[in-house]
Amino acid sequence: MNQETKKIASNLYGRVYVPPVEKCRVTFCTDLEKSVLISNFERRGWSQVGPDDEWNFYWASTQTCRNLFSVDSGYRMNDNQMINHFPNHYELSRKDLLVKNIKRYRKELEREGSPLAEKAEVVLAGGQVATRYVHLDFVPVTFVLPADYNMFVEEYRKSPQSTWIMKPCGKSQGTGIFLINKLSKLKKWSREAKTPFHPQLSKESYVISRYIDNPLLIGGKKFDLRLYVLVTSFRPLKAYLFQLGFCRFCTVKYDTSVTELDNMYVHLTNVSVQKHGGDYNSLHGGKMSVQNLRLYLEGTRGRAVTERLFAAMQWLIVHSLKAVAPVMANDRHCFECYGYDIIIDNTLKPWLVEVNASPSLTSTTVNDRILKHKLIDNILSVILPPDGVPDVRWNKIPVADSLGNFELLIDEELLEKDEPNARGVKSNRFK
Amino acid sequence: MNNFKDDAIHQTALKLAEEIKNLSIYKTFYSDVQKLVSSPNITKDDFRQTLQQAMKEKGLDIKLRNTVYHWVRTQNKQHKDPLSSLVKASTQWEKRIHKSLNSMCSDLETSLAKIRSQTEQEEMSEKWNELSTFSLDLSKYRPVYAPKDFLEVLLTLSGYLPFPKENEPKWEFAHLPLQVKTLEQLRKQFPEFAKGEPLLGVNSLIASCAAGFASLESERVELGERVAALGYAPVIQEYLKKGSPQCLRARLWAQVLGAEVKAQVMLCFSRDSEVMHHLKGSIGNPLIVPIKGRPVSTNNNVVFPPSEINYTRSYTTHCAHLFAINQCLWTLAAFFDFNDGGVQSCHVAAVEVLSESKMTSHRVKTKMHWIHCATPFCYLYDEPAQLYYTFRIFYLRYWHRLHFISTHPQGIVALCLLYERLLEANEPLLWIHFRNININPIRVVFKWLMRAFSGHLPPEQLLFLWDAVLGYDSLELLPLLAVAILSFRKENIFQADKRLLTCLLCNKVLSNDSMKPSKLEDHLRRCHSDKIGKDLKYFQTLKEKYEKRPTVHVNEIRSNPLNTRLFAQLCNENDEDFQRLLLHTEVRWVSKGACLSRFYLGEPQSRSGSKPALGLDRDEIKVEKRDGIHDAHSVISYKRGVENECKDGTKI
Repeated sequence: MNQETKKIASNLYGRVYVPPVEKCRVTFCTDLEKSVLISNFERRGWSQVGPDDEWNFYWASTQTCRNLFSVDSGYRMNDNQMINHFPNHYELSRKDLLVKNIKRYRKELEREGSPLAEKAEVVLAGGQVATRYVHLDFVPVTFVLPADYNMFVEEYRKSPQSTWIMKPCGKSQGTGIFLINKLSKLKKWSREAKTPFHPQLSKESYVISRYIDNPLLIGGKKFDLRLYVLVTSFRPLKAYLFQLGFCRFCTVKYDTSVTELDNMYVHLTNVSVQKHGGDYNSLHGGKMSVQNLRLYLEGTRGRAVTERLFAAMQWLIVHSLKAVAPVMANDRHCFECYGYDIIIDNTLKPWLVEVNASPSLTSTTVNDRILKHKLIDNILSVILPPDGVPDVRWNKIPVADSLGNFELLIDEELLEKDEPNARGVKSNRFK
Repeated sequence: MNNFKDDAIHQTALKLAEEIKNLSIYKTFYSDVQKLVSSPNITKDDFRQTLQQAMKEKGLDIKLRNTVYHWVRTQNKQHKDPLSSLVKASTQWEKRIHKSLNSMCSDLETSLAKIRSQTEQEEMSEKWNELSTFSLDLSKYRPVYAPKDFLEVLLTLSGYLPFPKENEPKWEFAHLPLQVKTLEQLRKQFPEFAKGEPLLGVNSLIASCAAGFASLESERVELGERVAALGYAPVIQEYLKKGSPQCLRARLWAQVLGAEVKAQVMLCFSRDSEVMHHLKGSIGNPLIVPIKGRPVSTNNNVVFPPSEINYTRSYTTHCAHLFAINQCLWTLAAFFDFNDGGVQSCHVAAVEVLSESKMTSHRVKTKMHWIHCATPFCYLYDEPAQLYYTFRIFYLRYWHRLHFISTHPQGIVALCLLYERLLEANEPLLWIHFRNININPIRVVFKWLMRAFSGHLPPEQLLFLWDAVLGYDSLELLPLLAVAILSFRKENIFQADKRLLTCLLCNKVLSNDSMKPSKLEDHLRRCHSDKIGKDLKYFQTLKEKYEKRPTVHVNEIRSNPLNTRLFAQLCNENDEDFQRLLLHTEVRWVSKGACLSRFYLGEPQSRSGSKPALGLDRDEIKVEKRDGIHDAHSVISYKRGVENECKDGTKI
C-alpha cells in the first residue's frame, strides 16, 4: 500500500493518519497511567518525561492543572506547551456553578432583548402553568442548597409530590446522590447533616433539581447519553463534538414507584454505580453506541423527530458553552475535553444533566477501549498544528482531514470571517 | 401457440381464483367488493369498466394484486430433494440434535412437552411483557450445537456422495453436484450493483442526480414515501434493491413481506386476559409433538433453554451490541413461548407455525438461530406484534434455509459452494494462500453466512444488506459479500501465516498449549531423550532446513487446471524458459533412454541442479520412491519446478 491509500484506509476507520515522526522532538507527561493515553502518545513517537522535566504536552489531573496555574507555583508555560484543562474548568463542571452560569446567561440575553431568550407558558405534568424559556430550557429546574432553600420550597409547593434529585456539588460518579419526594424528607436530611456525626456533609453544598421522571426508555430501561465535546478555545468559542458517544443503561427496569426511590440501580446510569449491580454485564457494560440509538429512533420514531433531537442536543451543548465562555480563563495553552451527560425524556427532548471536565478514560469493554483510543487520537489531531508539535501560536483552525470523528459544533472565528455563509449553515443546523 | 399460452394463463387464473377463496382475507375482500358494487358509481351498462375503476380508487385493486403476489411466493415450497444422500445427512443431523436436546432435558429434569402448570400459566400471562425481569438460573444449560458443529456436518457431506476423489482435500464442497452461478451470472442478477449505481448506505451523501434534492438520501426518502403510500409489493421490492432509508424501512418491510398484523393478535397483545382465555379454549392442544424447546447458539456457547426466555436472556448477556433491545426480544420470546407452549397463545400464529413446519424437528431448528435474525428487527419495530409478524415471515422465507441441509439453490450448502467457486475463480491467489496455510476458506466466513451477517456488521449496514436480500429475493448476496470482504482485505490475509507448532525432530504437530516452556521441555525429555545434550546451534540449523522445505508438490499443481495456469503465470513473471511442470511419467517418455547418457555427459545445468544447496529433501525422495523414478532427468526437471515453487512460496 502506498502512502495515499494508507491515508484513505486509515481515515475510513476513523483514525487520523499520522505522518511518522523522524525525530523524537515532543515530550509528554501524564498524571494518568492509562494505556489509551500512553499508547496514543507513543504512536506519535513522543517520549515520556516527569512533571518537573521539560514537557510539551501534559495530560494532567484537574488538581495538577490548578496548581500549575496558581500564582504560588510561578510556572510559566512557553509556546510549545499544552495542557488538557482550562484553569477554571469548574465553572462548567461543578453542578452549582454550571446552573449559576446558565441562569446568568439567560438573564443577559433577556436583558439584551435577544430572540433566544423568548419565554412561553408551558403546562407542567401536574397541570400547573409555568413560564419557561422556549429555546434555553435545557437544564431541569435546579437550586443550590442550602442557599436557595426558600426558592426551592416555593417551586416545590407549585407541584407537590414531585420527585427531586439531590446531588453533592463537588462529587462525581454518582456518590452521595439520592431522590426525595417529600419536603419532610429533605428537612430530616438537613437536620441529620447538621449533627456532629456528619461534619463533612454540613460543609458541602448540594444542588437539588427536578427529577426527570419521564425518561425515554428502551427495553424498559432508563439510559443517559455520554457525549464528548472538545473545546480548544472559549473566546472565540471553538468546539467540536465527538460522534461516537454512547448511551449508558441501567441494569434494572425503570420504575417510578415510591418504593423504588432508593434503588439507585433503577435511577442512576453511572457505570460506577451500575457495575455493582447483580445484573451488570461485563461484555457490553450496559453501553450502546449513539449511532445505534439514532438507528433505533429513526426506525421506530421517524426521521424528522430524530433529527430534531440530535439538533437539539447540539444546541444545548453550544449554549452551555456560550454560558460559561465569558467567565472562563481563556488560556491559549489549554484545551479541554468535556463529557456531557444528557438525558432524553419520552417527548424526545434532551436535558443537560452534568458536564465532566475529566471524563473517565477507563475502558470497561472492548468497544469502549476502541472508542476511547479513537477519542484521544482525534483530540490530539485536532489540537495540534499540522506538523504535530504543540504550538500555541497556531491559529487553531484544523483542516477537515484532521477532524477524524469530531464534527465542528461552532467556531466563532470562522463565523465572523464569512458571516453570511456561516449564518446559513448555523440556521440549518440548529433550527 | 398463442391459444395455448392463453389457455395456460386461463388455467392459472382459475387456480388462483380457487386459492384466493381459501385465503383468510377472502371474506372481507368479498364483502368490500359487494359494497362497491352496490354503490352508485357502478353502472349496469358498463359494469366491468366502472367496477375496475372503483376498485382502483378504493385501493382494493392493489390489495388484490398484493394477495396474488404473496400467494405466489408462498407456493413451490414442497420440492423434493434430488440428492437422497443429502436427505440422509439432514435426518442424521436432526437426530443428533434431538438426542442432545433430550439428554439435556433429562439432566435438567424438565419435560419440553409438558404444559405449564396452572400457576405458572397465570404468572406468565399476567406479566408476559415484563419478562425481562424474569430471573432464571442459566448455569445448568449447556450448548447443544455451535456453528462449528453445523459446519462440521456440512463438510462431511461429500462423504455421503458416491465418488469422492482421492488426492484432494475432503473439505471442499466442490464434489457436490449442485449448480451455482458464476460471477458473470451474478452480475446479470444484480445489475444495480454491477453498474455501481448509487446505493443508499454506500454513498448516501453524494449529490442526487434528480433535480431538487440535496442528496441521494433525501431523494430516496421522497421516493420511498410515495412507494410506501402506493403499497404495491412488487414496486416496493424494486425500491428496496437500492436500499431503504431507516425511517421507512419498518413500513416497507412489512408491506413487502405481507406482514399484516391481524386483529386477533392485536387483541392478544392488548393483554386482555379474557380474550386470551377465550382463545385458549379454541386452540385445542398443539402439544402432540414430543420435543419442544429452541436451542440457540451464541458466540461461542450454545445454551439450550426450555423456554425462549431463558435463551434470550443468555443470548443478550452475551451479545454485546444489541442488549438494549432486550425488552423487545423478551416480549418476542414470550410470544414464541406462547405459541409453542400452545397455552395462552393466539391460535392464528400457533397453527400457522405448526402447518408451516411439517416436522417437529423443523420447529426445533427453525428457532435455532432465530435470535440472530430477530435482533436487527428490534431497530425497526417497537411493537412486539408487528415485530413478530414481520420477523416470522422473513424467517420462513429466507433465514430458515441457512440452518437446513438441503439442495435448495439458496440453501446453506449451495451458498457455501457458491462462495468457494467465487473465491476460487476470482481470487485464486487467496484461494491458494488459504490452502497453503491449511485453512479451509469456508471456515472463515461460515458464521457470517449462517447468521446472514447479523452480529458481524454494524446494525445500520446489516439492515441495508437485508434490504437488498428482500429486494432481489435472493440469499446469493451473502456469499458474494463474503468474497468481496475477503478480496478487500486481501493484503491482511496474505500477511496471516498460520504456523502450526511442529516438533522439528519428529515432525509432529503439537497443540498450542504446548508452547509453555515446561511442556516443551517435557516433550523433549519424553520423545527425544537422545537430543537433550545438543546445543542451540543444532536446533537452529534444523529450523533453517525446515523453513527451506518446499511446500508444493508437482501433483498438486498439475492436477488442477487453475494451479497450472497460475504456475505458468509465475514462470512468465520470473522470465523462465519453461511454463509447465512435467509429470514424472511424461519426463520418462520424453527422455526415453537418452537421459542417463546426458547425465553422465555432465551438463552444467544438471550438475547445479543436483547440488544439495537446492534442498534435496524428503519430498523429492518420497516422490521418487512412489513413482519408481530412475530417471535422473525427471529429478532435475522436478527440482526446477520445486525451485520455482520455493520462489513462489516466498512470494505469496
